[in-house]
Amino acid sequence: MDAIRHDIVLVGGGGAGLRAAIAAVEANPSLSVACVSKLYPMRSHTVSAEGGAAGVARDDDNLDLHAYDTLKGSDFLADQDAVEIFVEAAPKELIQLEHWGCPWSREKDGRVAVRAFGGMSTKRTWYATDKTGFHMLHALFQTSLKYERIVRYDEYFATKILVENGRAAGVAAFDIRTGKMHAVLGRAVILCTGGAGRIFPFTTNAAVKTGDGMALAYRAGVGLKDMEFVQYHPTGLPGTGILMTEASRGEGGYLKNNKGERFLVEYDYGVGNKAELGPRDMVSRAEMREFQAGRGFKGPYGDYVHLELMHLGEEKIDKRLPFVRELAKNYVGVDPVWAPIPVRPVVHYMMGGVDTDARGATELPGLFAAGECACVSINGANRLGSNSLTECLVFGARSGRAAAEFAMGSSAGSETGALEQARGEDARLAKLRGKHGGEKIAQIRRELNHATESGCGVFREEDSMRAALETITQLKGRYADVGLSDKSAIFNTEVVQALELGHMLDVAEAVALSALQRRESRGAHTRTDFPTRDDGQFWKHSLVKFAPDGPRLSYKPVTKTRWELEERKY
Amino acid sequence: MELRKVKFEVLRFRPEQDDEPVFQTYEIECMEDWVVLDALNAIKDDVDPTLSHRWSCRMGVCGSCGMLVNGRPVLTCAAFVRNYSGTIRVEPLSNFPIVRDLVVELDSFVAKIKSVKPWIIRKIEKDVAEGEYRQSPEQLDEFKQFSMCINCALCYAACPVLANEPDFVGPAAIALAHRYNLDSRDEGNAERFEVLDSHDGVYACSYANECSQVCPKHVDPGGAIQQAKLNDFLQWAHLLPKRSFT
Amino acid sequence: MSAHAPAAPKTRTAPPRPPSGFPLGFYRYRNYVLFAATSVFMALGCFALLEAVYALSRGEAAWNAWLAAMAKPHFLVLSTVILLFTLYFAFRFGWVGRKIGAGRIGPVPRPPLPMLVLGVAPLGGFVTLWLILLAVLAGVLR
Repeated sequence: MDAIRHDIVLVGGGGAGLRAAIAAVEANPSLSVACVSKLYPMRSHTVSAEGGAAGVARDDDNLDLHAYDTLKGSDFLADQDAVEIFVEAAPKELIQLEHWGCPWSREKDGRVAVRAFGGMSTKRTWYATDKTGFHMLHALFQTSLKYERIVRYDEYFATKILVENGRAAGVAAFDIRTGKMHAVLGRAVILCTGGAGRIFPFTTNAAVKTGDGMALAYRAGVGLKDMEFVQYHPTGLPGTGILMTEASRGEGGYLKNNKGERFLVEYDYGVGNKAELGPRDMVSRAEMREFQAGRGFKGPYGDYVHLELMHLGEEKIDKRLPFVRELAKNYVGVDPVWAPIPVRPVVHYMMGGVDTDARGATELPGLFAAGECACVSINGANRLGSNSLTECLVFGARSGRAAAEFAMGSSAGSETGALEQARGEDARLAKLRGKHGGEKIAQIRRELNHATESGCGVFREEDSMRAALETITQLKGRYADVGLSDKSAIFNTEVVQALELGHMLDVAEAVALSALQRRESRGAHTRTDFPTRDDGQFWKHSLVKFAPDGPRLSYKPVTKTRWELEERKY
Repeated sequence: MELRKVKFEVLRFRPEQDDEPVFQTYEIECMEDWVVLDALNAIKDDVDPTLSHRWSCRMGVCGSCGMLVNGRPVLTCAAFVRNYSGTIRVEPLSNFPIVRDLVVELDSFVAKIKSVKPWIIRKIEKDVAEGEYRQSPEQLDEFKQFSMCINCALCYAACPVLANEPDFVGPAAIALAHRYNLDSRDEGNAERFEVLDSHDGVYACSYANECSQVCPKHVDPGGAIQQAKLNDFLQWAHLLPKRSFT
Repeated sequence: MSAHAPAAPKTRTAPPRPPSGFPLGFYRYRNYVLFAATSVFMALGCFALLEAVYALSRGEAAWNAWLAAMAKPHFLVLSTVILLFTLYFAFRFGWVGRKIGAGRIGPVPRPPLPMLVLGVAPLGGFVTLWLILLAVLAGVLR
């Protein structure tokens, strides 16, 4: 078994991963960091983020306000100590990125500009036109090239976390190009693999968002926290799900139903005078209720509403939202300067993920996680827009430093267990290639998408969630009989898809189970049979853990420091 | 929504069984708003799972899905099937070794990007506590266009120079170097001079301008190269200080 | 071995394919090949100019003899072709070269005027000289 040895093994090369890598080598320049990613890093899904990254910037703003907005947005499920750490580190991380060349949009005096965003009391969202994630990721990737101690393993797919003596010892990962399995060994492992939007059929997420790191941690015995909270972004294009950034509303866009009404103003959807800049869960629910009331437009991909930008004018659109204009023209044939864009809620972000503390550490010593794949939690039951990019930076850096500290404080132990596990993975991979079976990957994936959409959509209720969970369990059984056609070892993307499907099934099961058991409505988890928030019974984090006979659900307390729970009204 | 049966001629290459690349034809029922990538995914999902191709964001920002469609380098996620008539030919990017089917070897491309030192180089770096470097919107506009590159390598596939001189550092790398040279926060144009001035640097470009023609993000790498040539000459003649702003 | 390629390919690859439609199958590549071909004709033109200078230096008789030799029909055709190619080169060079007009290069606000003149002068000079020569050959001048 070919062993690659570094001090820290990072899985995932997106915003959180690259930030963690840089933080680790800056904490200790003698450490070497392996960056294992199934993609070239600049292709990571961070690149699609558009709107911005939040951090206190102006004099009329303060950390407590950002913390409160985040907490309220989370429907008070976020851990307040983590939120306090997050808002304090946020501006520093954003400045650091600016020093690394990120082309933030500017005010006339040369200072960084900020814009309004959903659920934020004041303007604090830093932005780079409307391609913030793209500019951030490229700045991070290009800066990471400076450090010779960050060694990249591009297009390597991690299949298992190797555990030795009860500690994370690395990952088994195969080079997609050659098909060869390697044991990538290290004294600490950081997972930055992103979310799992692809378990749903309509999502802003790229193909690669299949919950790999979540599944890997889950199978290593670490809990997945708050998985039931799936964010629907209110403005995705029907069909493709391509994201129309929240910034289009931040810059003044309107959402209108088929009667031409700004329904968020006209009817009471709980967003108060924030209207289009209400938090995402509320706006998505409002849209769904408009569809239910027959006030949506009908289209080949379901109902939709109009996102109107015409009143902003061509100059403002070209200056602040050029990418939105380009996407609308290309993918729905609409020029937003002249006509409204059709939009509907699409799955966008997973608030839940690998259970970590505020340093990114999981309960498995040596295993860390950061970014969308982790749940600290600062987003609780609903994330505010523009907190996620900052989250990648803050917790990417914190977990990088924590992993560096952990690696320095531990000595490289035995490797026999890890190597044995890696050999097992090699055998598993070899058996999977060209495997005979009666089921097809695409078919199971389609049925999985159908189950999550019908059971874990914007509105949920007992029977459909139960049915979804049952379907997913059945699909896991059928997955064991999946048949593959591609026997090649060289750049076999079919076997990659098969592995990703396995990860998606684990993640979907966790989502459905925790959703079924949370008998309340909170944040993005809305139940028609339990429509109110129940702090007495459910002010706690759900935790799903792997067990051979099926996932086990338990609960963890939420940390409170300074803020009392409130009714969430805007 | 209308459906149309479209024939796709796709170049295959399976190193373990094919001596050389060979075309394979598929017929796929396409919806009217499909892009070529949708058809490739339909082939992979339901017709021939052995077809390997790269893709991710499907919205033209990750740069994974660059291929030749009817001979022209495009992002297949932005190439609409309705804009083509007859059989659609899909091949991997030109000028790169073919690893498998529509997947090319991009190691040289990534190495070239790294070789131009695409990061902020300064003599003295500001502390984070001191806040941001001030940069006016005009200063930002000077380099912004060149910062839009998604590293899709279509420009490398289109460049006729690269066909004969594979060591040419290439349009995207030069545009990226130029982006940093123009950034008011950077002081590193001396560090990038050697690579740009070398035999495989800016002067290997012979004004084909094909790179700018195919760039899906309107970066205009051809323009960056011509500006970089002038910049290089001025630096060489000591008419341009080998540092830009402090 | 190139500086940028990996030490050895990790798996067997198929060789890179040249750009589709290169050199003569696609109109933009055809234009580019034409542009490259102008070098041949401009070289011929420079050679002829050198001959003219040499003839001038040897006195009027030599000059007239050279003019008479150049006034033959096939040389006139060749001279016209050379002029057309030179004009095409100048047009396309300018068309691509206009991208040089950046707002700023380093701290220098615009390419300084002398530099632009220095760049444009040789080309402009070549075209001008060639036009004069052609006019003389055609009997329009002297």
